[in-house]
Amino acid sequence: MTRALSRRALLTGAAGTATAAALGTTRGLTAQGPDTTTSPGPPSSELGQRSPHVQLTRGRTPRGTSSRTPLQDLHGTLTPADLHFERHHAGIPDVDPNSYQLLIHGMVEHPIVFTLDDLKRFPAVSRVFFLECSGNFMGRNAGPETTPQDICGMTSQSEWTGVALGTLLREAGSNQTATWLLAEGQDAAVMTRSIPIHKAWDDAMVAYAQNGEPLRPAQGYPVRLFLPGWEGNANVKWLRRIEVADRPFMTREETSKYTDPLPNGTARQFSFEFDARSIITTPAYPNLIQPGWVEIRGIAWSGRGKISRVDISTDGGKTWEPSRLQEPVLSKAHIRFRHLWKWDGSETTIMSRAADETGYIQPSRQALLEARGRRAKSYHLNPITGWVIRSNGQVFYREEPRW
Amino acid sequence: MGNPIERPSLLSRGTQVVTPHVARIGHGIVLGIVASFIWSLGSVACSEVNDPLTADDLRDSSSLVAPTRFGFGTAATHAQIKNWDIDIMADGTGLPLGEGTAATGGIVFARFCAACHGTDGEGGSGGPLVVDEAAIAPPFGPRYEEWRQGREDVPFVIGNYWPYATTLFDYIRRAMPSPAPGSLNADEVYGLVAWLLAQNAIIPQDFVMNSETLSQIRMPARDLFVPDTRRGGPEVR
Repeated sequence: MTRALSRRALLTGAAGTATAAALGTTRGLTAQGPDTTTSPGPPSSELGQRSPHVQLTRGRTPRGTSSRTPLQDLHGTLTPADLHFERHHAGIPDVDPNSYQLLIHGMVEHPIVFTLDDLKRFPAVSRVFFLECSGNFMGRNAGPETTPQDICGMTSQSEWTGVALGTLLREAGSNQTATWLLAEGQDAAVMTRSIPIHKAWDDAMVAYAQNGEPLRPAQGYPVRLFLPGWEGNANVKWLRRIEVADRPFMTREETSKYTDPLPNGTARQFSFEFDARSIITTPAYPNLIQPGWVEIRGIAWSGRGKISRVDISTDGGKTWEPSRLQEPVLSKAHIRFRHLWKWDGSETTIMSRAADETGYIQPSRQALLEARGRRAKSYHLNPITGWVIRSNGQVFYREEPRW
Repeated sequence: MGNPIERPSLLSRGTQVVTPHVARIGHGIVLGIVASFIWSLGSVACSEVNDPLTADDLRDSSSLVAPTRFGFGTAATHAQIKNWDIDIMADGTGLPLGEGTAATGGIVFARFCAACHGTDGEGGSGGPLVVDEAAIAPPFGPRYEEWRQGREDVPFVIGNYWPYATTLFDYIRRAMPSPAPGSLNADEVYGLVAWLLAQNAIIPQDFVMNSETLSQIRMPARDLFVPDTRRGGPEVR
């Protein structure tokens, strides 16, 4: 991630060091690189930037319908907002916050329109949750030169702030017999999904802030639906309408898409929750490691609650050891796991296996394939990921048979 | 779509994967009813209507009594609701006046859709919409493996995977054509739905598509869909 230093910077630094040494001053003691101690740097600024030495980018699909968080480059559990993954169905609309309105109608006593200011007047909630695309699995036929970002970079984590959806439904006087609601966005696809209303009374939010700042446009500015632990597509961005009803609406995105064909000839519908998953983010491709102590690090998450454990195998799955989980272990959130390992320099495969508080254990690819079948779409796939460490220290994605 | 309606009676669910259906217009069959499993998802909805304001966030302000209503926001006007409420439900509720046929829809398709979806709907930069022998081509499952006999994988398309024809109208009108979504009028959308369903051998070429006939079409894939039975726990599903 280190940008090559410019020739000019190198020359300046070398000259500074030489001069300092000649004059016997206290400066010029920097071992390498330009001497930063001999002149003041730039002052504070209105808007911060990353170090020019740090290059963090989202991978992007050729057609621009999605981009991926560089999981292998991040630490801890929070995703910088400009690195949050994207998945758009008709681009990113430029919504004017001053004319923004959210309509709630249908089976309600009081159909209401809220402005952005109205929404911010309600009691607010802030929670840290992951958000993941339903189709966050690109390991289907991946080759060895595949990064964590490639495999599952369509999961990101933020602190989301907004108003509880239940608060708004109560304000509108939601009918007690209502069972579903329709969430509709104001992008050019006018994206719609049906949501069981129990999620609204549980932990759904109408979010207007992410990591302390207003939502980024790519994340739904000014307002999005947020459904903790549920597939990204249902977390409708640029939310403009909620219709309360007593049945699902059978939109395109919950029938022909985002459903799961099964080997018995049926297809699973409304499969909202993510099962537990983990991935080692380092060492991973394209890392090069040295024999000796290596801290294996990664993230784990479950849409059903808290991660209970993450086990690590350093022998290709023959034996497993529990990793250390960074506190606090939050529900429906990425958690960071770490495992100290002394690599002896021989070729092996490392992998992580998450379990959650329901007793679910992240499956092998083979177990998942047997459950879902060869014709499974790439939705809701969460297999164990392996990384092969060659004897020269190079790390590669462990290839698996074609799905 | 806001009026409460009675829940339909539970439908029996066959295990057959795909059965070719021509629209059973005029047989009085109650169509467009949401399959029974949907209710199992929704039935827990009102069992615990928690007050969301009792969340941890509000415990600190225990001296306050959260009101039933805050009085924020303004009453929605009938005009605004009517203007935004564009969804079509599975029973056809919300379908507008207008009509079209495969012939009129074919002209619209050639003009606005074929560039991405192929002249005959076989796919291009946009996904495929049609499959040969659609009504007998199960896209997955044990019958697919048996049927396939060395053929290439059959795509998941309208004829073999979409459970409701009404969804076509709803989706095309709101989101297509992708360079200019929302630009087609009701007649054009009805025509496109007719053309697409005729291409997929669901309806005859001369079928007149309107709010009444569209809402009675039963799609071959209607009974494919089942509830999500994953609930956590040790079993991989």
